[in-house]
Amino acid sequence: MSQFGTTDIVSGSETPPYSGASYQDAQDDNTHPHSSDAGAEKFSAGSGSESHTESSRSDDEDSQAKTKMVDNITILKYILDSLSGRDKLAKIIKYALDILKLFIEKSKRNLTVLDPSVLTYYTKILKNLTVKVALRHPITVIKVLLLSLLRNFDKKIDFISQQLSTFRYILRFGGTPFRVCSFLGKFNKTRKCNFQIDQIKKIWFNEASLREFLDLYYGIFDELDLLYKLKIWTNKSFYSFVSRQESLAWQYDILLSLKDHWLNLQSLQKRQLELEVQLKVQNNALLLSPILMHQAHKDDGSQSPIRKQLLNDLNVNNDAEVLIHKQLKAIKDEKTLVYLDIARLSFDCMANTSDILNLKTPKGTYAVLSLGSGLTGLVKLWITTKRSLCSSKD
Amino acid sequence: MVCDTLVYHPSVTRFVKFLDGSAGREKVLRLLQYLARFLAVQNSSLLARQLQAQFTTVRKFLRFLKPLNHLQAAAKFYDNKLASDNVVRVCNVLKNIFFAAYLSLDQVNLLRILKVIPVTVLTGKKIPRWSNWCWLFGLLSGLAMDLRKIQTSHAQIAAFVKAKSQSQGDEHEDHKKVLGKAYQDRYTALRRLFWDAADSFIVLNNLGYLSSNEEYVALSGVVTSILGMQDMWKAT
Repeated sequence: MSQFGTTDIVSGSETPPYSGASYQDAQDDNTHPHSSDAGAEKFSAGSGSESHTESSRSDDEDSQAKTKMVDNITILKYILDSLSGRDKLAKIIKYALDILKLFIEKSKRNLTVLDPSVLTYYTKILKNLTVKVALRHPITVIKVLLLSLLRNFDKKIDFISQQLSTFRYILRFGGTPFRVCSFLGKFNKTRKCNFQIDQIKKIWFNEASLREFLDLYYGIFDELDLLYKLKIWTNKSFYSFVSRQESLAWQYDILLSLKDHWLNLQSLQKRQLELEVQLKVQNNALLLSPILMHQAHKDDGSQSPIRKQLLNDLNVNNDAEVLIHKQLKAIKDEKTLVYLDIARLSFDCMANTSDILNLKTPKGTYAVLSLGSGLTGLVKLWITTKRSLCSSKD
Repeated sequence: MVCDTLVYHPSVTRFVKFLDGSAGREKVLRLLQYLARFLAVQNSSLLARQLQAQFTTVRKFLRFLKPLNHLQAAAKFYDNKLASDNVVRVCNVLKNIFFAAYLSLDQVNLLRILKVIPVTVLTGKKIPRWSNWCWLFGLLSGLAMDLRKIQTSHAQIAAFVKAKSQSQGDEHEDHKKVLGKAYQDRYTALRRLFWDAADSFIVLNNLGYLSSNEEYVALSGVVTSILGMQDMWKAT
């Protein structure tokens, strides 16, 4: 632990302090592939149990009934009971307010540019606001009141946005000690193997270890950021370093997650293609079967028992077709979630890239991208919550 | 060896799950809030006072829409007309209604803190006072229910002790189980009584009917937070 600290200090001194734009909060815990796999396993198991249904008509009716059982209020309640749900809502509200603030600033600017006298009479009118003055100069008074209102909104939005940002940091706080213990456990395991190269490769050089390292890297700087916001430590130059490292760690995490989801999407598309080909082959076989039956009736004498059995099997093969349709539906549902995740991560990646590279983007770009990320995250969370509630009500 | 034992220990897994819930994290923040308040009084620390305010605000965010839970519970207790004890049923209904009102008014406090609504006599003084009154009445309902449960459990224990003394050497396993459950119920009710009494101490100081030192109020908050965390830990 002390060695790690020493290394951190050395690397900190070597790196020049980051002098970019002020850091804005948009960090988001990305979905790990483990949870995606768990969701896939759950849904495939569910589809397996559903395959035992006798007829497709009653199955469709059951699925519609299950969907109707879960109303929107229940889904919303479950989402708000979870930390990730509250985090998504807080993110959406925060960046919606930031965008609203831009509109307010634009309105203020337009108001003052069009009529410079508003600023001249601003304080005077607010102090001596009476009905007589309003009747004498109605347009100016309306403009002054509007400007006052916009300024008031501006301050309020700033404060609320800051509070929501701290709230989201506190929701993420607390995971680092457990990650450190996990990492030390792995290191201890390496030491037991007497530092053999094969064992080192097996333990450390894989994606799971990379994921753990990035989570630890991000978590440390994220929590240091929160402690700075709570004024527990106040070194400004070190805060610049922490802020920079937090953005970089988040970027690495986003890129790794994007790669995982892209590969997952490729494998899903391959499976979908295989199932569609299988379905097509079965359909062609079913189309041929009436012709064969017709010929069989004509040449009744030459029909063998094995041939009859095969023809009967072809006709009864609807169960397999139903199963394939269910699997195709499951794959499409999973693809929807993967697309949503890719969209969310892309929004986050664009927002964080503009922050890391200090790009000169139009005002509000960061807020719009982060709002897009929050909304896609909420949509995905809504869909997964709805599905889990439907399956749990079986 | 030590790290492996620590990482794979069931308690660590449980604690991670405890922090992953909204309710568990809210309990931890409550503990931190009252600890910060205690430190603010002890050390005259501005930092601790700021931390207290911050944790208070974040807790109010986490308790958003929590009144729905209490209203749902009140409806369930009201519909359960076949309950063995009507006094407990009525106390449960009243308790949940008052807590729902308290948490609803607390949302107004949050909006005032966030400056969404302006600070007036109504929002700055009356509504906080009303929310504390609702909290107090909820706690009083809880106290009445706890006393009733203690009375019921004690009556059961006394009946079993009398039956045991009369019929010597005729103990059954079922009697032992029921007697054990009665003792457990009494302990649970006593613990809850202590908990509600400590919370009542806090709210009476908030309303101004008691003027104890603030450090005692903070310590009461710490104690009730620890009790709450214990319950959440068992439920995890």
